[in-house]
Parts: sequence; structure tokens; C-alpha cells
Amino acid sequence: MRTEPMTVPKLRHWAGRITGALGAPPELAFDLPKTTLIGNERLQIQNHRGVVEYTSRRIRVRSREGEIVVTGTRLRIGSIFQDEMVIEGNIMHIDLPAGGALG
Amino acid sequence: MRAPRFTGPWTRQVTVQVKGGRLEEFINGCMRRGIGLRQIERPAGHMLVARLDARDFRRLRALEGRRAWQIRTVERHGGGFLIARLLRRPAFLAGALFAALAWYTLSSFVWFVAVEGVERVPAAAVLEAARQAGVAPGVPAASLDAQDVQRHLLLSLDDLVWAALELRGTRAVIRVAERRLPDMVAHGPGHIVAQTDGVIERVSVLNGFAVVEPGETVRAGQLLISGQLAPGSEEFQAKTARGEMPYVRAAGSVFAHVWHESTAEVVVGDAGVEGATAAALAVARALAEEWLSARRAEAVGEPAVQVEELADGGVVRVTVLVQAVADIGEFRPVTW
Repeated sequence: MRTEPMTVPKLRHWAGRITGALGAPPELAFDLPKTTLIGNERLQIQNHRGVVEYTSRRIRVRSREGEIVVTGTRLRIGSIFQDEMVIEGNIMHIDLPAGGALG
Repeated sequence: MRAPRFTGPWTRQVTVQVKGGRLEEFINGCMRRGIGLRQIERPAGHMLVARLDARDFRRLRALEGRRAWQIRTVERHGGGFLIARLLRRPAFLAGALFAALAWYTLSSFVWFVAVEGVERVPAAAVLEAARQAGVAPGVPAASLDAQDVQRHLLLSLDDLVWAALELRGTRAVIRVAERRLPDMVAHGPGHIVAQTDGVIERVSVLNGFAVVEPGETVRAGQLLISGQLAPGSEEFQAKTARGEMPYVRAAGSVFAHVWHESTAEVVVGDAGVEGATAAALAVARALAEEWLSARRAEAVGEPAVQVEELADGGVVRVTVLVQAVADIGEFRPVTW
């Protein structure tokens, strides 16, 4: 039998299909960032990995998948804990990283 | 993992000001150590203001040492700080202690006495009886024995059938129940008994059962018309089945021959023996009349008069003996 070494993207692809079939939320299975936007003034990010840049016009947040970039005016970090943070202010734009887990 | 803490009025939080470069690293450092930050403001590139739990504050020092960050407390929030500050002031501590002590001491006394449940009995009478039993404003609550007070109240006030002392904080509430005797006397069951001695002439029963017959001699207090139902009778069973006493309210008239002696003694003076006799006779007759009218009795025949001279003729005694017919029945309620 010919065995092929399993690459990371392939592993993720299969894991994603299994959890998808089981109905489990992907943010729990993969530590994926979960962003919740309330209006345009409050953004909650779960499973973040820290802050890269913090100014009142732009906040860059590290996540497993890459950087989440929030731009706007009067931005500030309302609270930050190990697993979740809240960005408040006049949010105008959110750039999300190109995801790959769910294929 | 650390969940955002609930912030109540007693949570102690501090607002810190951090100066230096690469303040994003400060935020990440806090995050990694599990120090939650709130209300993070960045007024300038080299300055950051954030709020955190007071118990996390000491752990910030470790961060400070690694990089050239200057951390300064600018404000402290929460009632916890206020309490901690107040507890460091001896006068406040003494005051708080005194207040607690005063509260405790004062609350162990009775300051108000109230009466509940009185209708006919004046509340003042109950209060007075309670005062004699030791219940009055200003007495220590521990000195009161509820049973003792209850006993005293019941003994000193006949119209109470039940009493209880209840201490509600600094209030002593005396709850009483009054005897509902008037109702019982006016409408309740009972017997007809003899008011005076006599010989029965005729008995007319309106309710109940006659237990004496004409010609019979009865003594005062003797049962004449019974209100008690015969055991086994239909009415008896009906009443007991309803939980009532097997009695009816006896009613009727019991006329009897009654006798009464009235005596008067008069000292013989200037009026002589005859005058004294007349005076004594008048008094004795008046007494006899009074007795008769009090019983609504009708005299039968002329009263017998007996005159005696006493003390060697110094005093005249007149005895008037009247015979009469009267209703000697008297209602006596059945009580338990």
C-alpha cells in the first residue's frame, strides 16, 4: 500500500469535514477567531492572540488565521482578556484573514 | 483562560497610566499573564491608560522590570478601597464599634408595648396588668418570661380566656382573646335552677325538661328545668355529630311557695314600747316588701308578725314572716 505523508492543510481539511458532519462549532474545534459585530460600534473578538497595533484609527489583532484589522475613528479597546477582547468606537472597516480551515 | 470578572460595587479596581514604547507589547504581556484590562485609552503614542483589578496590580511590576515602562496608579475605584481606608482610622473604628454595641444593647430592650385583640376589655387595663407582670417600655427583653406574663394576665383579667406575649424586635405585642360570655348567657345552652328555697307549685316548660314536680321542696341552686338532652335521643346525636354540646337552652317558669323572714330591732326610747314596736314593724315590713318586689313575688295571705322584747324591755324585735308565690327559676349557662 502506498502511503502519502499527510500535509497540514489536508489534515485540517479532513478535520473540518468531520466536525462539520458532527455539527460542532468550528471556533471550538480549531481555535478559530469568532468575531461578533454589534452595530458599527462594538466588535467582540474571541480566540484572539494579542494586539499588534493600537491607535485610535486602527487596531490590528493577531489571530490563529492571521491578522484582523479594524479601522475607524475613536477606536479603543474596551476590555481585553486572555480569550476575548472588545473593540469600541466608530468601526468603519474590518479586514479578515483569508481562512483555510473549513476549506 | 480567564473569564471577564463581574464588577460589583465592592470590586477594587485601579486605573494605571503606562508610559513607554511598544505599548501593544504591554497589552499582550498582561493578556498572557491573565491580567484583564478594561477601558484602554491611548491618548498618545507613548502613553496608555487602562483599568484593572487591584489584585492584579502587583503582577504588573514584573512587566515593568523587563521593559522600560513607567507604570503609575492614577485612580482607584470601588467601595473596597473606601472600606480599607476607613478601617485604618481609629476614630472611625471606635465609632463603628460603638454604634454596633449601642445597636446591640438597645435592641435587647423592649421599647414599645402593644395590645392586639381587645374589643370590650380596655387596652389600658391589659397594659396595666402587663406592667404588673413586668412588661413595660425599658425592660430588658431577656427578663420576660412569656408563660409567666400569660399566666399573670389570665389571672388578673377575668374577661380574657387566652393571652400570649410575643417579642417582635423591640416591640412586645400582647395578643389576647376575650371571653365571649355575653353571647353564651344571652343565647347559649343552659339550665334553669332555683334562686331560693321553696315548695314547687307549678312548672311550665318552654324549652328543656322539667326535673321537679309540684309539691316538691327545692333548695337554692337545685336544678329545676334541665337543658341537657337525653343521651341517645335524636337531637342529642344530631348535636354531638355537629360537634356541639348536647344541651339546649332551658326556658320556662317555675312558681313556688317561698318564705322570707325580715327582722328589725329598735331601742325603746321616749316613744315607749308601743312606739318602738310600730317603728320596728314598719322597717321589717319595708324589708319584706323589698324582698318580694325583687323577686316579683306575690304575697299569699297576711304576713305573720312576731314581737319580742329583748334586754329586759330595752329593745323591741319585730319579725315579719311573709309567704309568697314567685318564679324562682334562674338561668345558668352551661360552660366548660
